[in-house]
Amino acid sequence: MYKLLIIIIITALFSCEPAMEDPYENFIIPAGKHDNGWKMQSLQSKTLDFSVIFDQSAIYETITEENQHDINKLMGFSDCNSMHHENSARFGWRWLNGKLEIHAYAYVNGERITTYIGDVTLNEPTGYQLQITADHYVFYLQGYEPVRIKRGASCNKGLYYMLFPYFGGDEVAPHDILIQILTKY
Amino acid sequence: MKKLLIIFVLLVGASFSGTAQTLTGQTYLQNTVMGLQKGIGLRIQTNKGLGIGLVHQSNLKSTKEGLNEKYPFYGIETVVPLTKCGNMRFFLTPKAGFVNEDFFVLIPEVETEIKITETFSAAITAGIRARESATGIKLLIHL
Repeated sequence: MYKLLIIIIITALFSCEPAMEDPYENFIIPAGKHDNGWKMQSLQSKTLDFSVIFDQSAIYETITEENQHDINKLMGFSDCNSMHHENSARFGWRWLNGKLEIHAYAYVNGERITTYIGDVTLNEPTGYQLQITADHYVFYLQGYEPVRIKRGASCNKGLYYMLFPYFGGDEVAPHDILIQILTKY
Repeated sequence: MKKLLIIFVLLVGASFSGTAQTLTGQTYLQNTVMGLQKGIGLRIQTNKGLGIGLVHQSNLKSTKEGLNEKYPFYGIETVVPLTKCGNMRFFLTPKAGFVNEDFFVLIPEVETEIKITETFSAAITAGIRARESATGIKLLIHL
């Protein structure tokens, strides 16, 4: 009886057909919010590799004109045993002048550093890669030259918690914003 | 780090020295979001099932072409008995350790063990890796 049970379990666990569902994870930032809830995940390697699709919901107009220049956060991680406002690296994005801009967005020893990388097209998957080297964060956006930002003083072994989509800046999302992300391992 | 883990497990093992214990070797396969991983481990358990152990697991093959990305994990597991039913025992088996040497991770996991003989048991596991489910099968050898 137990042998039969074991065979059934093994079959169920390892012989399933691959799911045909959309491999992208939907992050919906609801209107009036900065994010879509708390998530806990730690980084697993020196390279965070993912693909993102923005749709028309990434087009927005802020209430205060100057806030249009604020950079929203896409995805990244806090550095070794640091809080993310101390040492972290993320891709950032904003809708400005009719374009979806992608930025490198990092905190180095508490100082915020941002660098424009390039523009992406709506409704098309675009590859992103964020690497940690011994002394730099390296931001790769598909089709653009990599951007390097020097890392702050930090350890190597420890907790690197992941950071997920966040709208703002100062203002909350003016409408539901859908960001589709596929993390590659 | 590995030496520290071994010392920690030996110390905890020594703390069990007043009670009856079982040393159990394990080998397993786990289907994770990073790919299919193989693992081995050694745990020490009291007769009531409470225990602690060392585990290592890594991908059967690299996930990225040209890169040796196998997500090796070294860590400790704790074994907390929940309940039993006939030859089946249910445990909480959370793990903590490092992936790719530097990256600390916590892996919540549960295990259902089915006793086959006095020496051998099989188990199925269900856990969470990187916010995705991770299921596995295990062969346990009670030494």
